[in-house]
Amino acid sequence: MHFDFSSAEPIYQQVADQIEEAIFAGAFVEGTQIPSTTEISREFKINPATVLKGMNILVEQQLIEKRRGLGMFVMSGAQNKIIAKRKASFYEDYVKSLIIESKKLGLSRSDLQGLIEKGYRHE
Amino acid sequence: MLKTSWRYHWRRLFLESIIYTLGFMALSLSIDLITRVTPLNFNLFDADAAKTAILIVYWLELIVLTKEDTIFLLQSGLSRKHNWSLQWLSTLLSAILLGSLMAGFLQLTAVGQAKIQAFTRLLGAYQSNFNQSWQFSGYLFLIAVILIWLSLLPGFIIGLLITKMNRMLAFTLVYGSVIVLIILITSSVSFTYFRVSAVAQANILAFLYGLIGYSPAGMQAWPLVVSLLIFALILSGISYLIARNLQVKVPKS
Amino acid sequence: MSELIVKHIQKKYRRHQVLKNISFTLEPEKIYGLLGRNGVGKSTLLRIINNRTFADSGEVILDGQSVVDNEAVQRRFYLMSDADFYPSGMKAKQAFQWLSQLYGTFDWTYSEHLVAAFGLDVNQKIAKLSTGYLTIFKLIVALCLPVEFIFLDEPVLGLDANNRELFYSELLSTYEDRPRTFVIVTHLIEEIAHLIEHVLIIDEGVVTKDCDVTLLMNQAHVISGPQTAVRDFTQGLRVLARKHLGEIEMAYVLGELPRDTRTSTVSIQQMSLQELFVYLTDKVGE
Repeated sequence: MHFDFSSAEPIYQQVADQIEEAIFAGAFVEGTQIPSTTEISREFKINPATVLKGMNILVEQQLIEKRRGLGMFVMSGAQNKIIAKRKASFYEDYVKSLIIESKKLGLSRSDLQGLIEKGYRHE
Repeated sequence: MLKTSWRYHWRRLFLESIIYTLGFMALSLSIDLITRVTPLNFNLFDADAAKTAILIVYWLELIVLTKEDTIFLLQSGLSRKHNWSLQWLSTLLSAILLGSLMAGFLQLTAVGQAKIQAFTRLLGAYQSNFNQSWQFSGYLFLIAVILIWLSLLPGFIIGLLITKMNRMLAFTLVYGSVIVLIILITSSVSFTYFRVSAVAQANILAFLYGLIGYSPAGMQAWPLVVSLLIFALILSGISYLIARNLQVKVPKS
Repeated sequence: MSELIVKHIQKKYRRHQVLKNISFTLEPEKIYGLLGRNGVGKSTLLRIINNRTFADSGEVILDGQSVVDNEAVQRRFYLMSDADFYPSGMKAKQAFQWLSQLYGTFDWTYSEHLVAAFGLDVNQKIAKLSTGYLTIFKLIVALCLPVEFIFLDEPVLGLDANNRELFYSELLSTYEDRPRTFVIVTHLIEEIAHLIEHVLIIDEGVVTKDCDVTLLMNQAHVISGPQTAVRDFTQGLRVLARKHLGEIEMAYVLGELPRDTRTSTVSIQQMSLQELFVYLTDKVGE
């Protein structure tokens, strides 16, 4: 986990993003406990209220849940939920900006398609 | 909190008084010893001056201690009111403590015996100038009041200043008390004058003349009274300055 | 769990009116950052709250009582400042013991942990401690006393980077174990920017900002890009400062941004709390 204090994203959003990323990558397995507010707060010197705010975003999205007296746990099906969400926003997040950038560079549609093909070949 | 503050302050004060009494004893004894054992007479090394120096250092130490503890306790949340009463009473009590410790020591030594006898003789000489014993008691009372007042003055002024009193008011109170004291003396003397016999009146007149230095015969009390008053004025001025400085320092870092 | 209410505080030093009209409320169990430029009266304000000096007017209230010369209230406060108020011969250990008695209790377990973590020699006389260790000593006192409001005036004075990091994480850990209200005055704004929950900025004798840090920072951005694009984008926004690098302009903006920022050619970045503070209190441009 690493926080970029000068990023355009507010810190609480970064907390949510980082945990989401860890769940997506499988670092935080479904059904297991994630680091507590205290741990994250101490480790990265972030106010616990800010950390909690980030966690609450994930609670609202039903990716993690609070178990009384125990802490926060990754909900079952969280990973699939994230994959579904990311698929849905893939067009907005990647395709659109890819096209904007390629237009700036003067790349044609077929150039771009060629590049995508090339990318797949080198995978 | 107040109880702990007393305990804290007095642990330091008591230690201080004991140390200075021991120092006083050690100095007295060694001077006695040197004078007796060696044929030399250390005129240079005035024993009384040395002892007085110890007392002055004790008083300075007391001022420093009072200042340090006032600030420390104030910082620890003790109210100014309690701080004031604590320091004020402590100054008086430590003066009495040191006084009685030293008097006790003097009582035990031969030198001390001689000194006390000399003091008694001096008192006797003063007494013989009053033709009635109550007059002498009155005189002693007056002197005692002045001495106690002198002892309390530093604590009193510091107290006034740290309890958010207007500086002018504090100043007036302190110097006002000098004037009140003079008025007190004058009124008690005149009250006495109009109620006693012609012989006593003549005595009082002689006493008053004595105060301003005129004396056909007998004692001259004015040097004592005047020097006490001047001493009081200087002392209160100094402690006023110290206290003002202290008040500036407590809030400011 | 009480609120500390500061109402219309004024303070004059000789002819200079330092605090003109200071009002704010400290809510329980929050970490505050009290920011202001040099000489703005931050320390004076803390000293007024802690009964070390008097306000000319105004009041500070806790549980409906004035805090002035109020022992019951003052023992719930602790002010750590650079002013050295310990008797000359006192050792660190003795200070812990006396303060423990004066305040009723002291968290000995935690103090032992802190003493070991920072490497403080408790048998050393306080007057002989180095600047850094003096600060460490005072911090340990502040964190271990049973008080509800802890005021830290320049809490990292003379601390090296390692000890500052250690202090910040200890502060957060003790805050979570035993929530209390902290008010931190510091000029190292970047270091506490994410530590504090609420920020108070004092400028020219009044509180000019009193808000949640996250909310405030959500409204503080740096817009950069070609000058015309930036001018276009920042139309109608509150621009605190503009910087130029050739044709590139950087605008420091405070306020809500237009909803859709994706299509714009300008780049948008989060402003740091320090930058925001500097541009809010800068007097050069006026």
